Amino acid sequence: MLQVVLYALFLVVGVGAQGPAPVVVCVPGALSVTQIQQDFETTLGAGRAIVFGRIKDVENMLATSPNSPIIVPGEFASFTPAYKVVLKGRKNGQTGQKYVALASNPAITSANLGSYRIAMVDFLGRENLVQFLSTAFSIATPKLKKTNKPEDLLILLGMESADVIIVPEGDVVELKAGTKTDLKAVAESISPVPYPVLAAKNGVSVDDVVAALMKQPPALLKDLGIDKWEKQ
Amino acid sequence: MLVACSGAIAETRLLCIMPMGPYFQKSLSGISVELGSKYHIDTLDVSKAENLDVALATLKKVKPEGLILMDTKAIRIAGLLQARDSAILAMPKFVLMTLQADTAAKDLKNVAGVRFEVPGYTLVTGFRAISSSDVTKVGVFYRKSFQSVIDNSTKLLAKEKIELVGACIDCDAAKALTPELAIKTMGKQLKVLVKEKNVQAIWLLADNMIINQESVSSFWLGKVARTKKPVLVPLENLASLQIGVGVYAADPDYEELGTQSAGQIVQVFEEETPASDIGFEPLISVKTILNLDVAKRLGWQIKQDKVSGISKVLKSK
Repeated sequence: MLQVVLYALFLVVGVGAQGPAPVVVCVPGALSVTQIQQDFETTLGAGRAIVFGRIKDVENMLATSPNSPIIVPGEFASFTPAYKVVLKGRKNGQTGQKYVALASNPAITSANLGSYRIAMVDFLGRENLVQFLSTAFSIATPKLKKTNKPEDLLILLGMESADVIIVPEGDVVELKAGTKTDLKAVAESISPVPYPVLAAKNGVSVDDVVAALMKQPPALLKDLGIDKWEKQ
Repeated sequence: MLVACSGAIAETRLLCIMPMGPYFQKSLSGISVELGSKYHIDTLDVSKAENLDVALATLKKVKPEGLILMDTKAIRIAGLLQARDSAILAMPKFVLMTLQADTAAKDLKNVAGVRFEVPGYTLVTGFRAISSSDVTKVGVFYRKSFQSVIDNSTKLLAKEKIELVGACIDCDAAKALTPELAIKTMGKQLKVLVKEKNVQAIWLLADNMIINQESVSSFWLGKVARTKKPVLVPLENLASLQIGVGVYAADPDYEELGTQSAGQIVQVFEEETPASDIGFEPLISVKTILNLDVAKRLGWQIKQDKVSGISKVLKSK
């Protein structure tokens, strides 16, 4: 509901206004978008950012605010060629992490992964997610069950609506702790998948945003699951 | 999908037959956001009356390629429509927001759907995830008409090393079950579940023979409450501060239910899977409710780091 209000406010105030377009932020599957919104406002100022938990909302927002800078999963930025990465998130010294395919069915291997129903949190949009699975896991035509909520992944497996879940490597320990089935890693992405990035279109200034983020505000780093920002 | 002369891909047209209540609107919003601009959804309001002539006129005007059906009224109309028109018979239909959807839609052809009931698996494992103690044995009262639900839940929970102990209240009944007899039978079976089977919690099935005005006060808030066993309920109001039968509840996440339905629509129209091949899927996404007053009364410890993941936490001031 808060996002609807903010979006409407943005449309009323932002259209024709002289100020910069707000930063559009996506934290896919975030538990508390409201809290993250408040953290961004504390760092960047009121009305300077709008936070979504679903990538679909970001796509819809960018259609009406094409000059907004974006803070999104790094892989999403790679599907938006008009945007140039300005800052990269880093964690444990790395700018990305592998994605891991987990399953409890011992018949599932990296070789036959594509024949099974795969569940993932949607962090790219359906078409981009299909492309991602092709590139990262060599699955040409995945049977994809995507969800907007990470907590639905174990339910999809447990209710037998999916056979495999694909998650960031950093989430594996917590996921395994949430089930008594014998979840095993059966495949991993060919390359690491980038952590969140700040990106902007050419000609759009984000100096103020960069300056604020490079102070490494702890609350925002935690919200985005990274240790620090660094310049591209 | 049609391709127009310009090379642009035309929208896929859908007609959503639904009541206009707020929860139905949320589900429709979930469908609409997920499908995006490649689909166009018209709506037909059946809140007040089922009017076949109006439905036929709407179909003629809108020319949908598929039907989204919410609630039994919509399903009834679709049944009448498909009997009139073979094109509608063949048209893919997507059912959601309907209790016992499989049964309600059994006469519809080419149908897929999402069941509305929160699965016992989701409720029980969700409760275990937030509990400091492990949960390995859960009891449930049920009528024999729900046997397949219990059997399926037993199988799924067993994979999570949770034993579901069922207490059938009319399997051996010599006479027809009445609400009073149901309460009496559950009273006897409660002793067995708690003292002999040592269940740690009780899953309350959404069955009006098991939960009704009379059984709330005399059984659930009486005998069951005195056992100090947590009760896991399928409706938010049963875990409310006012009623307090349950310590933990899960309701459908209406918007994500729409998203799940949209996934089926995409499978049919973009991946060319017949709707009848998809069939009825279980509800996946829920909103959870925790009543801390009841947890405290029971002495049931909750993992504090899991509380932030609960959709609604209730506590008296």
